Amino acid sequence: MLRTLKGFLVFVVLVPTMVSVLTGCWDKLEIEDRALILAMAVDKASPEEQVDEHVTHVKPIKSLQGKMIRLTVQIAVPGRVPLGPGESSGAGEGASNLPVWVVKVFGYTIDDALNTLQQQIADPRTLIHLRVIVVSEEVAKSGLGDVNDYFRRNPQVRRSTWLLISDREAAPFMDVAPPLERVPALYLLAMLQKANDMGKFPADFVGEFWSSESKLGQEGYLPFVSIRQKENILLKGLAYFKDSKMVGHTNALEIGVFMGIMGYNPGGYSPLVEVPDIGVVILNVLRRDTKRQIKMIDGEPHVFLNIKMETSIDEVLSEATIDSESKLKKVEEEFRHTSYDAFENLIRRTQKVNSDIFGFGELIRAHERSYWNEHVKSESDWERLYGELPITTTVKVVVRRIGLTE
Amino acid sequence: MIRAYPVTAIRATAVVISTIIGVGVLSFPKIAAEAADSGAPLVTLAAVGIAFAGLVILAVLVRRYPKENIMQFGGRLIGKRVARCFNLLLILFFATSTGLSLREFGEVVIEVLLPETPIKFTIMVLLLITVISCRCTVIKFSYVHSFYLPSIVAISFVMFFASLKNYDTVNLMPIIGNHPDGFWKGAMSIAALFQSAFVLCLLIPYMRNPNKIVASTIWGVGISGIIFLLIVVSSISTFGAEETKHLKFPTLEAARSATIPDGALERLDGIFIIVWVISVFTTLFSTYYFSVAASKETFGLRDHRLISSFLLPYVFIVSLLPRDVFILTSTGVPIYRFGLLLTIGYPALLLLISTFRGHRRITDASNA
Repeated sequence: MLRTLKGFLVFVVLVPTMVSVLTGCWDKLEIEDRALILAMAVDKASPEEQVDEHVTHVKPIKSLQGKMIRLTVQIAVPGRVPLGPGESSGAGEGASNLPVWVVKVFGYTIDDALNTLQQQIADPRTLIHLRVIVVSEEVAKSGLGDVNDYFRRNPQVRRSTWLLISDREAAPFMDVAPPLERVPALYLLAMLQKANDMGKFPADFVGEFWSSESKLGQEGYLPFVSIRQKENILLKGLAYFKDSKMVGHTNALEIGVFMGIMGYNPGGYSPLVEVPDIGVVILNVLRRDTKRQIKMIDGEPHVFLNIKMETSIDEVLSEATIDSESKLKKVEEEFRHTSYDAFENLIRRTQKVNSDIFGFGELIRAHERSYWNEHVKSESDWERLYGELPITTTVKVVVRRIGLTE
Repeated sequence: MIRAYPVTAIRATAVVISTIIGVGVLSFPKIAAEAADSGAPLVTLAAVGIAFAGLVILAVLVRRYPKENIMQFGGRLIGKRVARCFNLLLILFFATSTGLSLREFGEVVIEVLLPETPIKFTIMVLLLITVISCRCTVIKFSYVHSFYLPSIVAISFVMFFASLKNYDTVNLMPIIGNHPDGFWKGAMSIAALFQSAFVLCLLIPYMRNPNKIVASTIWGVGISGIIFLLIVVSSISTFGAEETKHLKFPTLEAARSATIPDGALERLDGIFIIVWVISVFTTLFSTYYFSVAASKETFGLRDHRLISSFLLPYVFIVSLLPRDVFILTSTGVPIYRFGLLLTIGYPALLLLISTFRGHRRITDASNA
């Protein structure tokens, strides 16, 4: 290439061009120069807080009046986030040495608020490490449309981010700093991931929620959380949605009930049952095996749920001992009844608000194509039909282990 | 003709596969889902069928004239003038398709990788690399393809198996789709992604055993067809057809959600993007190389290297013309459809004439 003059000229022009462009320095951004947002909380702004900073608009927007949100973000402070297990989180004690910085901003939409945030902090904000978004129940009830759109559109946000609904103001979640983890946002994240591993919660990332929301025959659900004793986060239940609006929530054990209907494993909940003649027994659900079938009866779909649970005995609170096969049968029978009631109850409650979080509609779409094509043209058609969908549940319970004592 | 390092059948297969897998893999599940929702894999299968038919016709045709390329024997078959028209159309189509693919590449890069870098530079860099690479001979061309092929095939399979745990088979039912209204339209659009494999007609004069070109094509389209199917199945079963319609690059999102268990590799999308850039390069390399080689034949030049630089401004301008992504797709789709007509129709026409004129496989005659 270098032998001829032409080759030499090509070399002289080409090599510097390639070197300067191929390295991608245009998008260079030092890690210390970014404001890494780890977690975010979305609340409705109270009337006295509604101060418009006019960052994204010159004149007030009529359709948005009085609809301001408060965004509380947790930003990682470079150099203070502990990297290894042995490293202490910065030097000394005190609030100024926290690995994160919590900032409050206001705006009409998420992006408006984030722009206001940018107007207040030096480093460019980045969402590549955003792991948890907490939204207050109040906001969720008026609709998650804005939240969904912004985070879906932004290429920095991963689908494996957790979106949580809190039963109270969401902002305090940004301040929760339990001693188990040095970075508060990572504690929240670890909590959800471990809950998922233990079978306490399904792997319901925001991506899953979006997928369910898009499907015509399924509605989304999200973790419902609360704060206890200032520092504890309580996984309180499931929040269920209809058209991205929250329409209700369950209690904690009903997460297990939901997972039973879905057939998710491992089983992580320990239901308490009062067995006649024996007393209070706490069982631990080890495994669930659920068969979900659709049968057409007289041209109408009918759901048959066949739920089988394998359990072990965790605790017995009574004078009586469980020392025989017949007593074990009694426990199984009693748990079968209570769990049947729980399954039915949760299904009826979601039917009342037409929120098919179980995806029965998807089963019908998948297996009864002609019925679906004829009856369901839009999401609201299925919502209506779900309200009257006949569902038959059968429950089978087996106690596999009783522990080390009779 | 130099037969020192002839192109083997395996290398020809490599050219076909790595050419087919290109910029379109990121977005085609969306096209398939829009065509027939949960029937998307079937749409893709139909597309593979169409592409298969077209490319096998081409392979059978070029096998009859193992010492020439399509520009040379085309003139003999249907007359110099007509053949020249077709050649010009082919050159124009492949040069334009290079430009449009470059733009699509640029759009992805600017959206997910390098938001600050001006799109012109992203496009220019890849175009420059392509232009420089296109100065090589056909034999080197086939070596470049075989060199990159393993990584392209490997990542597709790894991605498929890594995202297995996210799969929900309900999303794939019913197999024919709930509303397969746009089935054939979608199949055509996806089949258009396969047509860059037309470049295989340049290989035949350099092949060690030209008879194997048909087998190479069948293998090549078969393997890339399987990869396309794996990709569409993983997107649809991970997200469901409705969500796939909402995603601009479903394959990329599927790669983002895929993790190798136990946290061995949290983010597969980094590797995926790297390999994707390579696969875009190999596709552009093929389409551009075809335009260059075809121009050389059509204009009766001795050297193709000059044309390689000469075509650059045209391709670059084409890539910058569309104002936004909507115009990019709305102009791209008819162009690719037209290309399909050209890349399948022209060889089919030639094959018909060749059969009519009683040309058989020359090698058969010489063997007999």
